[in-house]
Amino acid sequence: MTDSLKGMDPTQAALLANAKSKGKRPNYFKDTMAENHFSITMSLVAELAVARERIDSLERVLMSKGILGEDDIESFIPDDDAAQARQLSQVEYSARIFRSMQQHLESLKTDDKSMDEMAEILGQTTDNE
Amino acid sequence: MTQSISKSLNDSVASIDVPPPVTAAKRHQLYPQMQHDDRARLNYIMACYRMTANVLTPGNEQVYKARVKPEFQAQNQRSPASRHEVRQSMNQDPFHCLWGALRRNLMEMRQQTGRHVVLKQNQTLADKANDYNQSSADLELNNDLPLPAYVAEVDHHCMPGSYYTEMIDDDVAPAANYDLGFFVTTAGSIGGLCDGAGAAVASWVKQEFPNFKPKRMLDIGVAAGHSLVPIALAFPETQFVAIDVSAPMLRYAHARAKALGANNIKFIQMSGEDLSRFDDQSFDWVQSSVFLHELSAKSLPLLLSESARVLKDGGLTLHLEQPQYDEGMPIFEQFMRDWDAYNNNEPFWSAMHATDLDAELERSGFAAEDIFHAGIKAVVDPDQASKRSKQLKEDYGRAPVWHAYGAWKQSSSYENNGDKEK
Repeated sequence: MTDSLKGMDPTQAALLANAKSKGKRPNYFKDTMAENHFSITMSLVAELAVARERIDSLERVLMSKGILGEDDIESFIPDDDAAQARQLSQVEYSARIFRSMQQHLESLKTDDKSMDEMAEILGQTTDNE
Repeated sequence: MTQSISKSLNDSVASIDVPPPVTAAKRHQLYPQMQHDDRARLNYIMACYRMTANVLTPGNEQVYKARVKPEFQAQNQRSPASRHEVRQSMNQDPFHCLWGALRRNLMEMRQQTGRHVVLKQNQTLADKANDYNQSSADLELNNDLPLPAYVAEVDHHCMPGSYYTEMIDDDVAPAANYDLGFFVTTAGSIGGLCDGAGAAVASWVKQEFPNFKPKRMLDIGVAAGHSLVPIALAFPETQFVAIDVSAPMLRYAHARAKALGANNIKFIQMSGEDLSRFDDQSFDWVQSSVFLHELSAKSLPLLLSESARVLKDGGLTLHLEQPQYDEGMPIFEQFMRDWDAYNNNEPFWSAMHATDLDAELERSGFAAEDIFHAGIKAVVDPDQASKRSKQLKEDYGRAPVWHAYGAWKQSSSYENNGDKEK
C-alpha cells in the first residue's frame, strides 16, 4: 500500500531520522559507554515489542483464514527479491538501533550550547548582562 | 491465605493506564501513511510512556524523600531552597538518572520513528499539501523572515531540524512528524485530532462570554493548527489570522485546516514579536496556545505588548500554558515540571514558568482589574481515544488541563458592547 509513496531513499531516511537534535544532550550516566549501551538496549526492547506485535498480527490473520499449517514457517526459503528486501529492512533496523552512537559522532562536529547555557541566555532581559 | 497475599500485592502495586493504539488517531487528508511496524513502534512507545508515568515517575519523589533530601540536609544544615537546588541534587541520584535516560530515549525514539515515516514519503506529503496550497490566497509565506534565536539555537523537544528545516521544495515533513508525534505523547488524551485544547477554549469562551462576537482573531505560533482549527470551526463567522515563523508548519497547517473544513483562516509566515503589518486595534481576540514557553525573556514582553496594541478595546487576549510556578507550588513539583526544560530541549520553560505573567500582561498595557486566570480542561470527542484515556493520571504537566492567562482590553468596553447586543 505504501510502496506508491514518493520520498527519500530508505537508507538515507533511516540516517536522517536518527539525526541529533540541536542542543547538547544531557548526561544521565557517568560515562559515554553506559549512555550508549542504555540507548541501544532501549531501542532493542522497542524492536522486540514491534516484532511481537507483527507476529501476533500474522498469527491472527492466518488463523482467521485457516491458512497456516504447522510446518509452513520452518520450511520457508525466500526467493532472491524477497531475501534482498529483507536485507534492506535489516539495514534500516541496525541504523535505528545505533542512533545514539551516530548522534555522538554528530555532536563532535558541533559546538552546541547546553540547556543551562541557553536557559541563561534566553532568560536575560537585556543584551549586556 | 492466597487471597490475602494477592490483595496485599494489589494494594502495593500501581495500575497502568492502557493507552489507545495509534490507529485511534483520526486521519485526515495530510496524515502520513504508516506501515504495520511503524504503528507497532509508536504503540510500544505510547505504552512505555504510560508505564513510565504511572510506575516509575512517582519513584522520583520516593528517592527524593528517602535519600536525596536527607543527604542535602546533612551536608547543608537546611533543606533545598529552590527547584534548581533540587535538580542539582537529584541529578546525582542513580534512580533519577536512569529514569531520565529512559524518558529522553523515549522522546528520541519517538522522533526517530516519526521522521523515518515521513521522510520516506516527503514528496507525496508535499504534493498532497500543494493540492490545497497552490493558488490559495489563505497562505502567505515569506522566505526572508529571519529565524528568531530562540528557534534557531535549539531544536525544541528533541525534534531534529526543528519546525523549520526544509529538505525538498514545499516540504511539510517536520509538521507531519509533529502531527504523528502529538498523538503519541498525549496518548489520545486530547482527542483523536489532538484538538482538545482548542475545543475547550471554544466552548469555554462561548459559555462564559455568550455576547462576545469576534470579527477577527489572531493566533500566534499556530504550529500545525491543532488548537486553532476547532476554534475556527466553532466560530464560522470569525475571520482568523494564524502566524508562525516556520514555512513547513504553515504549509501543513493550511492544508490540514482546509482538509478538515476550516476555510476561515489565513496563514501568514511572520513573528509574533513584530505585528507591525497589523493596525492598532485591528483584532477582537488575540491568542497563543501552549507557545509562550518556546520564546525568550526578551521576546515575551515584545509579543505581549504587540498583542495588546493590535487588540481592540473590549477585545480578549488569552494565552494557554501549564500553571506558573508560584509560592503555592512545592519546589519538588516545580523541579519535576522543569524536567523538560533541561532534558527535552525546552530551555525557556523554566524561566517562563517562573515569570509573573499577570505583571507582564499589566506591563504590556492591560489594567490589573481586567486580567484573569481560568482552568481549561480538554474537551474531547467521544471516540475510542478519549474513552480509553479519560482516566489518565496526572503526570507533572502532561495532563490534558491548561491554565489560561487572559485579559480583556478595557473590560468596560466589552461589557458595553455586550449590552448593546442583548
